[in-house]
Amino acid sequence: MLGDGAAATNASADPLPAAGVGRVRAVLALGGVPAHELDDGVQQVRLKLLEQAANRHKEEIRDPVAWAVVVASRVAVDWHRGQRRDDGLRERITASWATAAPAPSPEDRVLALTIAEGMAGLPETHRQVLTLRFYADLPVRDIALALDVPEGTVKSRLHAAVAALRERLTGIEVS
Amino acid sequence: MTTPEDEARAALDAAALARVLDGMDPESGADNLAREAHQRAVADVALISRAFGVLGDALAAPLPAAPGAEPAADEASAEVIALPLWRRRPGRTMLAAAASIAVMGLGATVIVANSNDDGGSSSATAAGAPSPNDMQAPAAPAPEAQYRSNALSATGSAAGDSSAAAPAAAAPAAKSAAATKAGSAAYDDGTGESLVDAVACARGIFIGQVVSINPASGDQVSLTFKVSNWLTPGSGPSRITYTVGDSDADGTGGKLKKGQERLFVVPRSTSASVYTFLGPDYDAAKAKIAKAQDQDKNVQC
Repeated sequence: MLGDGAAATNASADPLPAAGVGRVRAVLALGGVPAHELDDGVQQVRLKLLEQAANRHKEEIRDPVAWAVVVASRVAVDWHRGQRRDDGLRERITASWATAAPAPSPEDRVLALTIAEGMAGLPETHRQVLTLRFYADLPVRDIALALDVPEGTVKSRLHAAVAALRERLTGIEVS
Repeated sequence: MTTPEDEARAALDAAALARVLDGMDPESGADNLAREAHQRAVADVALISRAFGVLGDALAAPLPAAPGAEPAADEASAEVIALPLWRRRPGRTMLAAAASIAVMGLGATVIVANSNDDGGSSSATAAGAPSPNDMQAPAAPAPEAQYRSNALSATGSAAGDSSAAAPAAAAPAAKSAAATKAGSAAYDDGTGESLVDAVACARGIFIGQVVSINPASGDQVSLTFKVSNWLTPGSGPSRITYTVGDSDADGTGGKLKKGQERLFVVPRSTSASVYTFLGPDYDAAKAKIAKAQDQDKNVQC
């Protein structure tokens, strides 16, 4: 049963809280899932939530959004196993800003595009921990638990990934 | 060429970054160089975190298009792309089921609906993944009293603005065939969403211009409008995106095109198509909407 009430037992409720839909989409996109696959990715996360809720032997989900974000990161990694990596992250972000209101500052655009380009060169597992750490704000311990890998593994991926991104920051000035 | 000083600095930076990522402060006996390295690491990690916030905000919203698909501003038109029919909107009966799960293709479509839902928000949420833009939109229909008030004031205002113009035939462009067949106030596009239903549960009723039309999932499209006059609710953003059913895939004829100015009724269901009324005089359209509103008392949203 979900921790936010009777959502799991109430068939009329969406298992994924509305507040989590955008975050799930972002995590999928940061993981490299192309735009036209995002809705399917979100549905896969919903399905996982329903499965989890239906399985009484599994642990209760205390924070469905955080749980959904982790599932989304897995969906993104799984997606790459059978698909070509999406290389259009930069274009997608730029297109989004074209219609966004308010648009980010020029400094933030440069910063975000720099990091997006850096992400494109990283292994999926590194992108995953970066996203969970810096977008989902999960601590290393929680990431390790969620992904069922040792903390040391998460740390080593995180350190390597941040070091790679840090290289990209050299030479840009952000106020 | 790398100097020993560069290497020493790189080593300090790497060590400092590791400590920052592990949530540790500088060592108590750290010298100035080590402390400076720590500060650089803290600043860089903060920048990366900030970048993810910006990226996440940009990526959380449904994109206006796949790369390159956003039409240029001066492009004459962008027709709704006919999308595959194998993921057509389920009928009401299916939506009325307590809960259904359908797995299709690579992805999974989850349909979860209230027993009294006519394809409204919960089915839309499950079957079509509402866009954050949709969530920012005035999603809930205005209370009846508010809608009446809005409709009346809007009608009055429009009448005052167009005293010389004869009322235009309120031709719902995207629904012309169905409208002709079904009469003035209860158009049915074959998806079970009549004008009365659409008005009663509308996510938005407004006068505006189609800014972009992009494929969404299944037989849905993402429509972005520049709104000049909100009718329901009484106010809203000047630019808004809705996920709706593809009118072309509905087979009802009439394609929305970029640049079209209309009075739009965006139904609650993300699988139903948008009702459009030709301008520039929208008095007749507003009258039809008001009439539909009078008939919607038994509609449950």
